[in-house]
Amino acid sequence: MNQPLSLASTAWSRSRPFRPVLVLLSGLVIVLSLVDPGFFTVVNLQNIATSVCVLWMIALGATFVQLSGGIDLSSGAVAALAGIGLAKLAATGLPGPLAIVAVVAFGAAVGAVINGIPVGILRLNVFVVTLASMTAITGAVSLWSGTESIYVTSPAVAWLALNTFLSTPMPIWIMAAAFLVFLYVQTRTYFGRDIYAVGGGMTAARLSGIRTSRTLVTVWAVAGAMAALAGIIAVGRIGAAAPVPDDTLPLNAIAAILLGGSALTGGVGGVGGTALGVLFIGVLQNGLSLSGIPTYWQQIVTGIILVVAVLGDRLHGSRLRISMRPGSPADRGETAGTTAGDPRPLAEGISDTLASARAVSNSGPGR
Amino acid sequence: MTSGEVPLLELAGIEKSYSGVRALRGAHLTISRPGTVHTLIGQNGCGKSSLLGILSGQLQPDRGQIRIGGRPARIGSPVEAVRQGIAMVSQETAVAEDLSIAENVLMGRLVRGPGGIDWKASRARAREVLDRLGVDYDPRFIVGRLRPDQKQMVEIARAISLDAKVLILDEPTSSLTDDEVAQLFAAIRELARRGVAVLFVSHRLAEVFQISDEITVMRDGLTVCSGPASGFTSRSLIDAMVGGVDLYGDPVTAASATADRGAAGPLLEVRRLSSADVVRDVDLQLRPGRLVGVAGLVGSGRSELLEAIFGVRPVTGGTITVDGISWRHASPRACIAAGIGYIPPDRKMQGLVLPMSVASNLTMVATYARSRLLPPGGRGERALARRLADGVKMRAASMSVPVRSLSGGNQQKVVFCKWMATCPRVLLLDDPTRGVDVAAKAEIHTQLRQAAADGLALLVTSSEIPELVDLCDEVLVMHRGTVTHRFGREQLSETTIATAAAGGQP
Repeated sequence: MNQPLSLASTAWSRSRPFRPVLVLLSGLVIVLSLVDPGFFTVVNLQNIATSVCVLWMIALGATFVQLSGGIDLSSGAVAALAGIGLAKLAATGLPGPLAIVAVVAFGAAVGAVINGIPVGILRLNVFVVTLASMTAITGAVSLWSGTESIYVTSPAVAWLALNTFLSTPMPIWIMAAAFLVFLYVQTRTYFGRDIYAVGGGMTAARLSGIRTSRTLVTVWAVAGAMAALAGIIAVGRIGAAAPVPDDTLPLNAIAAILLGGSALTGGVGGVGGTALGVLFIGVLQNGLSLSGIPTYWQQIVTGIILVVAVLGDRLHGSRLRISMRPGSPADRGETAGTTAGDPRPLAEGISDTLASARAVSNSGPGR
Repeated sequence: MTSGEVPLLELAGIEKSYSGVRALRGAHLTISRPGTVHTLIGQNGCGKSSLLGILSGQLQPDRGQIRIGGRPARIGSPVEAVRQGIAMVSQETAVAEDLSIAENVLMGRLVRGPGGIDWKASRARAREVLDRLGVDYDPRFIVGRLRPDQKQMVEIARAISLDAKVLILDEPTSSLTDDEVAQLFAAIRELARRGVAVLFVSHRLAEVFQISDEITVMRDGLTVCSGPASGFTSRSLIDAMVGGVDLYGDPVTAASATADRGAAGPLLEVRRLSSADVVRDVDLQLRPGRLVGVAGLVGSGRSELLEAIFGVRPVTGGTITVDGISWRHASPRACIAAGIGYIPPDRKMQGLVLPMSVASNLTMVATYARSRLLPPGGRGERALARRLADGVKMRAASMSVPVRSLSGGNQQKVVFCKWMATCPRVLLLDDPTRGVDVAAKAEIHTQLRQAAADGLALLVTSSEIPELVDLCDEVLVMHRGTVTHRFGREQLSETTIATAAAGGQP
């Protein structure tokens, strides 16, 4: 603690991986409060929260996906699909609340079938699967909507997005409720623990009797349901369903998750960090527009901070690994590849990968 | 052949330690002249790999001299090794599967012409190298579609295209069939005829005598003996490898604890179990209180046998009977429900979820059947984790640190404990002491004996034969997917098992 380095290593702690973004967010809030008297007001803070509501919902679902070792590129497309579905359902005269429940269930089904089964059961590459589903669903949205916005006049949908309760906008209540549910599932259920186990060590989890396929499909169903909920709120805010997905949504969600300290490889992180990451993006955007700076700077700054955050994680991680001295000659091969003075040539690392790939392909019947 | 008195390659007094563990304690190796086939042989952990690593520039010795053609040399990196004429083909093939044979053989050294790569000249160069090996491959063929032995041949071609004077082949036959081995040997002889010295590593005794001109035997980080192959018999070779010393204490005391058991009926019975072509027609019975060992070389099917029983690998034939009930499909969950535990060989990938806490890992199997909507980590669960950890003297800062932060030995204890938490009746252990230090190994042995004394049925594989001799009531020896020999307690000896594992007749 008395060395300058140890402060950084505490901030980048693995058990509290969201600390850096907490520091960043607090700093940003303090600076903006000092610079602009209009920033730290109830109305502005509510504005920030409602402006990130859609991103918040998507990022919560996508956090579970990322904890399980996946990445979701299709969330924006699923949200748009849900919006169009809602508009079509409302047009049939179905009562608003029923339509909302039906669309959320539809989102869950889409997530489970289009992403969950290919990733969780067929074990296809997650990046390819969600890239494909994003592309296909985007096309389906245009086709279904006839490439025109569809107005939605359902009072239930408007109530969800625009009403206030205890002088607080409804979306903020929804955000808080969703966050608490996710936090509960993540920390207080075996399902939450399974997500970490699957993301942190798929083989070990399966050998320990955990139903890895079921866990993954459920995670993707949850992500689909949250994307649908986000789509419904988006429709409520503007009163119409857009015929094209918001391309920035899935990438901003991933950025927020990474800012929040969740690992890209899965098994580390959580929704607490994601919430802070989303708020950081919202506050930054708000502060920039208050200062009259083009809000495109938000994307540039987010990009830079992301790289710095990952770099910080890397530096911290590599220091951890170097401090773990290989215990025996047999252990050496496993750790040597990550230390600085790596005696093994690059080709040998490749050969390990090849060998494991071959082991996989050989495990099937018949060579 | 003219420089008959000065050895082509000489390593003397080589020492190498890894953080205090001495892998090499003054080993030496001499390859006398070009065109010899020199075999390096020794049990797992004898220091062979370290010596090869030093020779190929991947490792630096702590002490000792290397002389090439009589002149002192320093091999600082694999690139320098190649420059000095030493090329190595490692045990696992390292080829670029999607590229052609020509591209693999001439990797990074394709012939350049005025308009970029001269493909025609490159192919011709590759073909010429393949000819030197006596194989007739089309250089345009994609390597990924070749058989394993053909891939190996491509690697050898790459090595000799570097104009190697010494070619190191580290267990090249471990994944090959008999016919493929014959082809490889023909190529080796062809190379030797052209004056390339081949340093050959193998565990299979028959092959060693078939191909070698000279043999060097290592044991325990030392070179035990070295000389022309004609001076060895398979018995003298094994004696040199094993040393005739019992490194693992007195087996008689270990036996007396478990000698009176075996009367009870089998908990788990395997009949004519097959899995593709890696496990064939294996019979075995596991009884309460008995430790059954499986010996065999890497690739003999011993790991695959355990995987098939635990349902990780598809069973293509035969039956698994638990408590007198035959199973059609084994799966990890069914096995756990029936009280069967499996400790996999790779604790980092298969045994543990590294980023998760010690407590979560310890209780993972014990809680596998709980409703997924329930809250985990209650007081009972924490107490269980604590009790398990204390029972094996685990050294962890706290139960909530990631299991990744523990040492190898302590990680292995977590793997062992997470299965003991379920109170299993049968435990399958695949190489449970791999990569742990001596003290941790002794503790694991104690745990295994305790488990047997408590009435568990255990099936253990190990790459270290003394360990099996010391621990087991019965040892099965596997060779190429089948059980070739069974030894009861009184028949166990390192020499016989080593001979049987290498495919010989003890």
